[in-house]
Amino acid sequence: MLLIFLRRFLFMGLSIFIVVTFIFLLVHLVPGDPVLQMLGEGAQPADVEQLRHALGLDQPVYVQYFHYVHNLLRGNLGTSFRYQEPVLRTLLRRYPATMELSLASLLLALLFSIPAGVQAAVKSNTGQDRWISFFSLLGLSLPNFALGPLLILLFSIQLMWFPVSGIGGLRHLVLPAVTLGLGLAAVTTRMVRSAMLEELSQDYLRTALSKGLSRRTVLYKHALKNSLIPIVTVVGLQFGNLLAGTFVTESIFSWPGIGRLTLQAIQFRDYPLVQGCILAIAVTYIGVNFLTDLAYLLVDPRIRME
Amino acid sequence: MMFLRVMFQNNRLALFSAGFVVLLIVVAVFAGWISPYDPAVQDLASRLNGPSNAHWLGSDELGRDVLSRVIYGTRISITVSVAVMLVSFLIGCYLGAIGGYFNGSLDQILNIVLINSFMAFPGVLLAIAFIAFLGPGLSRLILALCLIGWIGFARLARGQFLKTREMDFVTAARASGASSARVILIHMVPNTIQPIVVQACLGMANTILAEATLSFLGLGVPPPAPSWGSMLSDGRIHLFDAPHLVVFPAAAVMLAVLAFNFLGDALRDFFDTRGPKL
Repeated sequence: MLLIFLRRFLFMGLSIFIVVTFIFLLVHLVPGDPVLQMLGEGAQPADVEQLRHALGLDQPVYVQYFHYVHNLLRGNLGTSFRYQEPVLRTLLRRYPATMELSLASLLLALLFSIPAGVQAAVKSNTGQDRWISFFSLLGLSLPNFALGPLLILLFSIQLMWFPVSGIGGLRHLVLPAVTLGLGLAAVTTRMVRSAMLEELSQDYLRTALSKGLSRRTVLYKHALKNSLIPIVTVVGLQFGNLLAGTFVTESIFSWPGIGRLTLQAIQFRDYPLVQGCILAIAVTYIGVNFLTDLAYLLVDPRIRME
Repeated sequence: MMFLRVMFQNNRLALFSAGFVVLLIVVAVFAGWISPYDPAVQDLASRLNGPSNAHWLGSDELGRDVLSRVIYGTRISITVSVAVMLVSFLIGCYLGAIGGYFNGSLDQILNIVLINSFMAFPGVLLAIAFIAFLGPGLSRLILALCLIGWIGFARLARGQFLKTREMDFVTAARASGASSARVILIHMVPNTIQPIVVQACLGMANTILAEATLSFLGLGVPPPAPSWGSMLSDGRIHLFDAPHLVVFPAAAVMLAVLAFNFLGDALRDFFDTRGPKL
């Protein structure tokens, strides 16, 4: 088990190394001179040279890379031009809002999709199953940039139940969380349904029922528990999409998280901040995948025994 | 024609979706003839008008016809998706087939280094990162989406070729002296292509969604080109006074994505040989 943990941990380290290298190379993708792009065409040559030196772009690429990695290891992600403060400080201020939104969406998606998926499997090939399948495909096809404005139109403008935008209490969280979580709920519902269908044909469930256990206990404590591996995989992988979805959702609802910060940084050509934001989201994604791998160890004793 | 009849038998939804996909392609190709107005022509006298006889889907904040913009948006969406799918299909299948068939050090490099590197990012984030530094534009958008599109094809093709290379008919072809290229193209491709076709169809839906997402974020096709995503983004400001600016482009994205998803599901069911079909 320790070996599996170490292997996964090493793989996580390799992934982070790849991400860091890619993010470093991004600045070198900028067509023309990145410093001129940041300062604008009319910049004074002295300012250009000063910024070029400050960014280390006047040195050979391998030296720049070494400095970049060295600074990262010390927690130095550079200085944001727009906010005139260390990128790490800006990220730490915005990161909790993104996590709050992502975790609320995840919770909402699981609360909806697990009972819906179980119900669709139990009532497979009936009208109820077809409706659940239809709605999950609809949820999969409805992009969050379309859903968000439609929810605002209905629940904020027409019914006035929830605020249009901003961060605050629970009422502010509902519409962004639904917007972000719908896609995940749709995918998970389909996954729970197919995993449960596989499990429902197993003999041990009939035994459990014949022993007098309630239907609810058999479904949720026996069948669902054994269907968890594919579900955990999908939820783990889909969390990446959830993080990518924060760009749109935070932008629609003016949610002050990293997604919106990235877009603002792109708009202002604040490249160190863009690099920091992408790094933060990618590292979170890799971290979630690592936790997903560890979750296998918890839900499947066979993996622990390997 | 026989396979179409079998595929759509008892599956009205798939038939309807296939019809809608054909309609999308026709609209994209003949946008210039179908569109009632030039999508870029402004008419400030009729700005933010709701649906009427003159403008069936209303007009936007610059008085441009929403229907014409939705029609031209179809052209952008379909062009980008087809281009991305073609390039991703060719690159992904080529690398996947070579990796899966030869299964040597090249495969290790492909699988461990290339595929895992790209999978370390959530898909859209990679495209956003790429465009953030390269700048927006149609060709850059296609390039960014290809960057994330080829991975799915490469993984699938690799898996299919790894499985098929062990089969007897491949051994027989090799034993009869066929070259590797002949074994791959003539013998293995026809036996591995079906799930890849399904992936391409579902990939069209994902690419339409990704294109619209990037355009919504201002990282897609630059204005005044009408993209469904940028139309939605512009329309958000007028959510209170002109909701039609959001509803119609949103419906266009949703229906296009739904149609390709339903068609992909139908193709998967059709190619799935388990159980009776005829």
